[in-house]
Amino acid sequence: MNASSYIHGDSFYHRFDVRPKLISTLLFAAIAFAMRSWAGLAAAFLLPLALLFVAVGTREAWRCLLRLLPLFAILVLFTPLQERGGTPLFEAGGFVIATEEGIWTVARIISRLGALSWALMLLLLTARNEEIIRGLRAFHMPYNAALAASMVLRFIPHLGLLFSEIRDSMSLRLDEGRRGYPMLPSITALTVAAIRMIPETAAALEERGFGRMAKMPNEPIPRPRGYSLQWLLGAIIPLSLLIVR
Amino acid sequence: MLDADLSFSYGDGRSVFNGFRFAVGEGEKLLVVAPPGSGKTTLAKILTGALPGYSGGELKGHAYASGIDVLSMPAAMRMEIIGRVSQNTDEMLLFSSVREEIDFPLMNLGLEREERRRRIDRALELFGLERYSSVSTSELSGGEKRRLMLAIIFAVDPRICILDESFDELSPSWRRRLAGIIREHEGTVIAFASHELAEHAGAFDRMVGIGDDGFVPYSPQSLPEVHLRPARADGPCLAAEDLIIERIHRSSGDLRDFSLSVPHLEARGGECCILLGENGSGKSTLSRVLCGLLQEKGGMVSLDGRSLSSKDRRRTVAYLMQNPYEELFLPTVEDEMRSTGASAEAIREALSIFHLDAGEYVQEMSYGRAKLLQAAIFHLLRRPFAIFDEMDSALPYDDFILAASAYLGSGAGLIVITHDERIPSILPGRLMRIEGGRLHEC
Repeated sequence: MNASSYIHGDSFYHRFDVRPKLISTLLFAAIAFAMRSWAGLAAAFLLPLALLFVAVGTREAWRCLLRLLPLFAILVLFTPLQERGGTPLFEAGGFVIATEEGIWTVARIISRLGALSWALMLLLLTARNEEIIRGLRAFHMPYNAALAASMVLRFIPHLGLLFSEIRDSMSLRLDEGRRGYPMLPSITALTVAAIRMIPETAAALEERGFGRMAKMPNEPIPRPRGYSLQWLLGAIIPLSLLIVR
Repeated sequence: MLDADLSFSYGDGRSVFNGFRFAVGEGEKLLVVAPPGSGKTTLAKILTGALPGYSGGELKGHAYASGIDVLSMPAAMRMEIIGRVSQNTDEMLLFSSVREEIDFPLMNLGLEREERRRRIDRALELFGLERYSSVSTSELSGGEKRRLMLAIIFAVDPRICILDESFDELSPSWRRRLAGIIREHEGTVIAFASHELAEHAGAFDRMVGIGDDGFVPYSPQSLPEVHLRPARADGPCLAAEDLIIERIHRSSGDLRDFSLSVPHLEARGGECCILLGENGSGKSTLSRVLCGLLQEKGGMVSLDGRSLSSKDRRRTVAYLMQNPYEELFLPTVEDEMRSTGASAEAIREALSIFHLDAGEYVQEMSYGRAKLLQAAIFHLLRRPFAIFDEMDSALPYDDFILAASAYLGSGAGLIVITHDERIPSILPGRLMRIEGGRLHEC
């Protein structure tokens, strides 16, 4: 499981200490669930996305956005069809296509999913794995839990990488005249690979001595210049969303 | 030093070892040469605790190292006594940077920060990875990953090092260097290989094979001879002109981005071209461009003078990746072969050519046999050109030549990427080399 999302850079967010970054991520994720207005949903979606563009540049941020667009499209297409109770907005031949409540539901899901994804990507693209573990440990999380959390955070990007490898490989086998990728075999292959990865990763960790030490020493992180200001910004930026809640 | 008598069968009842006995002396350097599927990786995994572990299976017997039965110890507690470099590097890399990858086992040994830093720096220097210290492991080439795995084990410095096909994917200069490191290493080294390499000479005290109930004396393999038909003058011609290929290291700012220039490359149907170059020189990246998985920055890839799009390239050039598991996804050999759309007769023929069993489960195949399956799949697809990316690693020469002959015999043009200096003598072909970021004919 060697996918790393980290992108080298010198943006202001790269220079942030990992501790305020972790808190900022948590706040973005939590506040996204507290939004009650259209403006709030839009702000919760757009603010971390804007930060992502600033932190890692247009190309990388656009790549992140593209990965989630198909999922958003599916949500937009199907959620209103399932949420058909309430005030009808669009009708065709007496059939209610979308209601106000359905549109609100899909907007809320997309806003929350987007905010959560951008906030996590912001963290993973600008902080190395070891920094995240040290940051979590600074908040008194046990080493094993911090390691597990950092691996879980990388598991989804790793599955993304695995899926693109599978698609590449499948594309080399396509016959003349066939278009697209065989979706079902690709997803099956991904599932098998993901399941197989669990015992492999566990065995690899144990062979490297994971679990030998009853308690791993906690190495303190030195405070960078402007540490207090970073804390302040790390909290104020996501909390500012509450103004448009 | 290591005295073992063990029996092991997988969870499905398949027995691999039954009363397998062997002994390795203190500080001895042992080379075990045996074909794929003979149990080399299984033995390595048993000794380090990866098997039965989370995969299941029944293990009986003992393996005493300096009087301690390592089989009775939890895997994590064995690392000071015995450690291994896995054949499949991807399954062992867990962290996001080279330094972190080496640091993790050292932290688990309970070493102080200064001692860890000293060992990491020494291991990075020993395996020429200093400039990759902060690079993500996913951005390393196959050979660089192998060097990282070696750096980890020599940083941990267990009393017994097991190197599972660790010479594979290393360039000749790194193979010689590894042979020197093994020779000078004070601890015990057990190396597994599918075939004897020129670089093995002088590095080991003893060479053995694997028998039914223990190691057996090694009998050297004679190099197979291949009689190639000359390339047809009217065969299809794959060409690349003025290719510029770039790869960006996203994870590190202090590493120059990789760049490769290919002024001219030409391969004809039925012809064999051998591509050489150091680890990380761009052989696999060039292959990915030729088969349409990566986009070049400049230049053109053509077939008989007609420019090929990425999509066209995928249907023209078969790319057999370094790690076969990257291209195998379906449950059985038969499922994989049927996914090519080939007829039942063609599948039967391929099974026979590549000595495969239709009902075999892909996940249970050894690395070497997985490579044969990979070769069989692309053989069925009948692409006019194929690239073997270090196909010879983890395969005996006979199997490698078998695969190469099958492709060349069907009229396909073959580009063979290899680090084995014997390959050009047993598989005659045009030699090309990547040096200093440029491809040229030798």
